[in-house]
Amino acid sequence: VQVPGRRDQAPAATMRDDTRHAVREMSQSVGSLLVREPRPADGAPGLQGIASAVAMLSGTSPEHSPAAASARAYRWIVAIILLYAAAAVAVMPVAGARGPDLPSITPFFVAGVLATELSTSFLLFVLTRETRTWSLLMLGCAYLYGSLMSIFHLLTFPNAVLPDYIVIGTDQSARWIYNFWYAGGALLALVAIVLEIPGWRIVATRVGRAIALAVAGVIAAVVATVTLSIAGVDHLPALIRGSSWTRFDVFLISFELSVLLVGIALVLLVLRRRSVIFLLLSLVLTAMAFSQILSLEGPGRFTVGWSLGRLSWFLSACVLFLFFMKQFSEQQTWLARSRELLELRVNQRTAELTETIKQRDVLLRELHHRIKNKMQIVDALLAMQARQTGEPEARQTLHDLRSRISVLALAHQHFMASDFQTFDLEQFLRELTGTILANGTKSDAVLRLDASPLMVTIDQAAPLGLLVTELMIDCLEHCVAPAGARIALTIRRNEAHAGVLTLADNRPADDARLHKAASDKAQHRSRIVAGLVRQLDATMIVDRSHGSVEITFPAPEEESK
Amino acid sequence: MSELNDCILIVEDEYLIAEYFSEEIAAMGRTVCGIADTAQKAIDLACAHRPALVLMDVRLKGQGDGVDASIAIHNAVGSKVIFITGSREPANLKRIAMDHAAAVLFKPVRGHDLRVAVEAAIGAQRLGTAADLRTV
Repeated sequence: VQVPGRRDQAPAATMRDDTRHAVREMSQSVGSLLVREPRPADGAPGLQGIASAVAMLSGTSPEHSPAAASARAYRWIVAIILLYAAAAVAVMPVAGARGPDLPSITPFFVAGVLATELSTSFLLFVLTRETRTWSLLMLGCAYLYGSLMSIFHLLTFPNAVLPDYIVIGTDQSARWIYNFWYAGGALLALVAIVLEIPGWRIVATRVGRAIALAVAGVIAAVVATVTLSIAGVDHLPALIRGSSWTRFDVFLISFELSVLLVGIALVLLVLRRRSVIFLLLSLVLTAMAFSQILSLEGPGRFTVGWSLGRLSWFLSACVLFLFFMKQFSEQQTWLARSRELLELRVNQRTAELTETIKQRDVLLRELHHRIKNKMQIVDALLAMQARQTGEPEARQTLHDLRSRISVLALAHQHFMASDFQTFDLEQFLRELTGTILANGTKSDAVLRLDASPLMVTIDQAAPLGLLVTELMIDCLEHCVAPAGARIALTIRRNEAHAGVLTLADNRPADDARLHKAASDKAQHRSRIVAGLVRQLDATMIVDRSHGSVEITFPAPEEESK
Repeated sequence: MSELNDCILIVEDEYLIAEYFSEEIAAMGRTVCGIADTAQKAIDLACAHRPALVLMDVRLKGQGDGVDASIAIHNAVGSKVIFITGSREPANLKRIAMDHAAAVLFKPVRGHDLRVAVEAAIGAQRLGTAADLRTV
């Protein structure tokens, strides 16, 4: 809601260029917001992006200082003020002429001033939250005071609301309230200008409280001055006699006028182009001063000077309001533009991401395909080697090796078909044991697989598969005809929800599984089995009397359905 | 359509895999009538040898893939086709499904699976025609 001063008085072409440039910059910063996520370690780039985008949107520089005015704007304001002064001089000869009595003009005048000044004060308080300057807070107070006092001006002005009747107070009250209204507004504006010179800031955490206190203070001042003007009017000097001002009133008007002139001088000579709002304030004060000068020239109600003065006051009340309206319309346009740009960016980015994901997908599939091809080649090499080998022992060794390698291939295949987190052990082992039996040399072996679906993690799948393979190969080695190998494999969960894998066979009773280290091969196998059990954080119980082995391993909790 | 020859055409661009398949087929007592590594060669060899069965890898080097080749072979010769693929992707499987596949095997293919699939595809024909050649 800040004040981009440069565009204030600039010609339309420059303004368009400026806007285009700003929109381009804004789109870049918005884009950088989208592209660059704020990293948790140093949030600086992301936050800076946000700050600059917000600054662009609100038309402020990142330091929150009120935007400076251009030299052109300054020259324009000075020119308008001089024109106003010239107009005042030109009107002076006729200012004293008495016009028609139009007390009913007052409600219109007051309504206009009330609406514009109340809105302006609200906008100034909003702006104060951002700039945190005491000067803007004070200016907001000036506008709030002016708008509230206008109500009482209406209520005390003779015949303004009710014919031949003053709603509250006396005729003198009306003039006192008018003077309090005028003097208060002028003094608060002057204080604001003086505070703007050092540019003091309100402590960031206390801005809200400062605004609340300021509003309360203004209301208190209004109540005090109105009470004094109505209840205490008998103790105050008279300001109006008939419809002409008294000398004391002229003194008050002159005092107010000098306050205004000091304010205008401070803005034009000291503040100069520092802030657009204060530069415009000099225009506001000029319009107010104009009305006072004409009041002095046409001393009394319903003169030409008095009527023109009211018109000028109304215009002064409108200056900042119109400025804020212009700001608003510009910002709305910007917002619409930036929204379009943002949408465009989002669409572009989405398209890019979709394309990237598609490419990744292709890459993943390619990788998967290649892994399977390589596995097939390894298997083909082993199979061909086994066929070349005459010795049954060596051939069996190669077949066992194929079985072990096929576990890895199978695990990979199931992994690719899974959700990449968990894995159905039952399906996997069903396929795995089928393959081992099919590749084994003992075609009469029979497997009874008793399993219920059990989800394990990806990391558990391959070691579990290898473990079952080793135990199966061991079974097939030790079970001898004529009965043929009868193998029973069960998978279940126990009461503690751990996975339990049991493998039993019909080997001769004296054949102690895995403990009768008869050969190097058996030793090698028991080392592999023990290592895999360790890797799985599992426990293994070997029941020698029944020739069975039970492996208990931690299984992930089942999702409640 | 004229008589098909009792032989199998292997279409596979990976030499070692093709070699392994042809050994497996030889071990089944069947004849391999050729090994092709591109879709075009597969069509040419199929037209020349009129095999009863084609083992078709889906991904091939060069122009066209196994599905294209098998459509051409199906139309020109009428051989049965067993697809061998590394992919279980639905899009791929859908294409294969439109293509009169006798079977679909997934890599890595084990000898046992290959034997079962081949027997299922053309074993029955053999019983009637050349049962004496059968040496399992």
